[in-house]
Amino acid sequence: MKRALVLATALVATVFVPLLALLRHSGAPSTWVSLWLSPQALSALVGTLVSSVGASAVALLFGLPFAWLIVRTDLAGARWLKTLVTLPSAIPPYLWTMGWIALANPRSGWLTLAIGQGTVDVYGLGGIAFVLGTSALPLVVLSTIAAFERIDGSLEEAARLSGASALQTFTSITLPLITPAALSGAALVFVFASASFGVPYLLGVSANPPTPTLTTRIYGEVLMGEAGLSRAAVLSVELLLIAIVVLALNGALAKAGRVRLPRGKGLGQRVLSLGRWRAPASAAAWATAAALIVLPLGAIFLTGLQPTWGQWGSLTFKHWGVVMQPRTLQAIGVSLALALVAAVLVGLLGLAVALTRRRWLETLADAPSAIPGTVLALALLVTFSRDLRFIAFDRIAFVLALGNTFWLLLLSYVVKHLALGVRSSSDALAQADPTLGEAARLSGAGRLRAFVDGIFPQLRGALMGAVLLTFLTCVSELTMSVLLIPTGSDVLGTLLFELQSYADPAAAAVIASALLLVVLAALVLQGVVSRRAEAR
Amino acid sequence: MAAVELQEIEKSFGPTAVVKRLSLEVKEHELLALLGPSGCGKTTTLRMIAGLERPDRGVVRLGGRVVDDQASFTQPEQRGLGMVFQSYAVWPHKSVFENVAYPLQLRREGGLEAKVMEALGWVRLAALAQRRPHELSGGQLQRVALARALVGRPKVLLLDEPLSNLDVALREELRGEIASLRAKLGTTMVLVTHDQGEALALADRVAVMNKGVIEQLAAPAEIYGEPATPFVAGFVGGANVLEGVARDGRFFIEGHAFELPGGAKAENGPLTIAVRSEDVAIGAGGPELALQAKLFLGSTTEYRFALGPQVLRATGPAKDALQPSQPAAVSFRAARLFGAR
Repeated sequence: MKRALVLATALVATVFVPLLALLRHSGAPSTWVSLWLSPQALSALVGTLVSSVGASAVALLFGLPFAWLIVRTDLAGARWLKTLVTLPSAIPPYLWTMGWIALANPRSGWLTLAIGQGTVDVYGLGGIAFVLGTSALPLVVLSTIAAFERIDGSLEEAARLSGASALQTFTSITLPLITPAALSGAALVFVFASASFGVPYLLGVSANPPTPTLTTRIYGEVLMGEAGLSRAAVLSVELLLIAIVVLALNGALAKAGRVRLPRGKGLGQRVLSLGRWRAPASAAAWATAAALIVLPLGAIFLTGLQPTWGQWGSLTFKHWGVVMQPRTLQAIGVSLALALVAAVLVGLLGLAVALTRRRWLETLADAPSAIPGTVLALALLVTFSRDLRFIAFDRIAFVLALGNTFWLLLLSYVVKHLALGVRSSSDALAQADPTLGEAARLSGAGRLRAFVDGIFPQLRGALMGAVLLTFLTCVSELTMSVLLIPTGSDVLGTLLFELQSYADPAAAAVIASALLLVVLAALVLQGVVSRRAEAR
Repeated sequence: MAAVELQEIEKSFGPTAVVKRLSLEVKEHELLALLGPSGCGKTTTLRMIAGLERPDRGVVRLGGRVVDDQASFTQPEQRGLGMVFQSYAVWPHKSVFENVAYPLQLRREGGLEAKVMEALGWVRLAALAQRRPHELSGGQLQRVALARALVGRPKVLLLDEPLSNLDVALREELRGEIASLRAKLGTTMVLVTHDQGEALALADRVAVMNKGVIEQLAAPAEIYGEPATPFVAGFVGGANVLEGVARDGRFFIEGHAFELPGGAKAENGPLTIAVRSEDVAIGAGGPELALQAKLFLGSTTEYRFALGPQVLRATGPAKDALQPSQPAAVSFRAARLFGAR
């Protein structure tokens, strides 16, 4: 209990007290509504809602057919297709944006030039929704695949025997059974999209006319200094409310539980033979996946090799010098160090929270992951930019000055991703066999030794996965970094963001290429490790 | 005209032949049980009747009409069948009423509500019509499945292990319900089961299947009383199936010589016999065997004797002084002889 209280106190001090401070900073609730309804704020709200709904629609539009084809048909290379369409979540959204800008900016985009000017324009709400939707595709694909896999095959066979054709069976039985999972995936896409900063900034601010969202608007207010800060706080409350409402609706939908699919694998599932449609369907699915995923990534690599921005002549490595510049090296070093420390802390703290086996503490530790990064960062900013003084034993005074240091950035990374460590540890603990630890105790091991030898090996795989995922997310983090980065310093995300939006897209593409290579290498490594673990 | 006719059906999954040249006729209004251990091909046979699997070779006819040969195939929804699945397969997103109404809705039949409520009445679920599946017990779910399969008055009802997910008491109750529904509606039924008691109690005829072939097809009394093969004797009657050698009217097994009962004649050579446990006599002459275990079963006691690597089971009265590891004289009161395997 003591350990649980210490952890809870730390969480409250670093997340919930700052949120309260943010509320205080936003002034009286009575003034909120009038600010929310001001024309500028209203257009930001509309921007957020439209782009988030659009992103959910895009993810459903592509995600549902992909999930069905992968699980239920004899599509060529279904397993590899699944790997490809779940790739986007490992790559930061603003990288997809950079790829699509290279492809579809209205002046010199690759697609623009191929199809003809005036046909495609990635800037604006449509582009934001499209890029966010494709980069959140895995949320819909994975939850829908899981639902398809849990449908007992006899549910569909019973419909056939009742007189329904294959198509009627699909629309009246299969589709209603997977709908809750697909909608829940879409709700997560909405929350992800409404909290996203990089994509709407890169595609909205320079759009004609500029299209703001709540996150980019908040950022703009923060840049204005003390006066803007309170308006930013009010908009943050609005953004937080949106996330809470959507997550609550999603939870209510799940709990309504009209449809409860049995746990575990569905039995007797039939794989539909596409017959003579197999070749065209496979080609169409692979071509779509390639267009959504391979094309923008390829565009980033090619942009880094272009001799001149916008011209597709001979390729060169001359831009790659940027990687060796001191500013880049410093940003890479800081990002790697911060991400590494954050990932290890997420793993250790997540394990510590799960080991207390207290649901309320797990819920408390889960909560920050639902807070939009912009809101969390702003809360930390308004709380810790001032020096905090503590006096202990009436004598010793501590001065806590986190503002404008990397510590605040590290803190934000850890609390935002803590849920990853908590969930993976607690799931693994629930599945772990406690008798292995008990056997160690009876063989003469102490409590700690029994945990290390008997229980921990069963958690290692899940924990390593969470650490790696946290590392990958943090090494390229942008949304919180852009608000919390100490003046005059860079992390990879902010450097890329600045190069892309103001200075030098080619240099940005080079750094993005390097980052992509690292991410892909890490994914391959993880695949190899998990496959070896499976083989054992 | 047969309600269902299978003609030389063959089916393999990959390299494994699951059903081998199987022929079978189910008469109108008959309840035929396909009985066998798991993996014997009985469920696959049922699914080929339903059109959920296609045979590699052979012809399936329903009411004299070809529904599957190599040239033509009638989709399952066009065969006019009803089916009850082991896993209930009650749709979780529809209420009890909606589940049962579904087959009628597809046919756009009038008088939907009355028909659905009648079907629910058959299985005594009318009061639960508006419930959701997750509010029902296993037995109630299987009754919903039964009503749904029967509501469209199918010519043939297929039952795939309908009772095996239920506990013993519910199983007996639902078994009685299937029997009375059959009496009421006269529907032809094909029942797949691995439970010999279920097959013998419900069926007009039983087809005992093993390794993809029908070993015996006969009325329950005949299956039980006159098993055609050692497998049927062992699987249905629970008999001891013993393999040994016949010589001069005696049966030799593991160095013991038993008298063949009732002056049964056997040619000299390898011989398989089936002896029910109640036909094994203890203490009435015969070779002495060591008692391996003694299992008190309530009304009777089962004795297990070691016969080399084989085990001989005998049933005796509940009160008996026989002690473990004590030798006892064992003989056979009756046996079925099958000749060499």
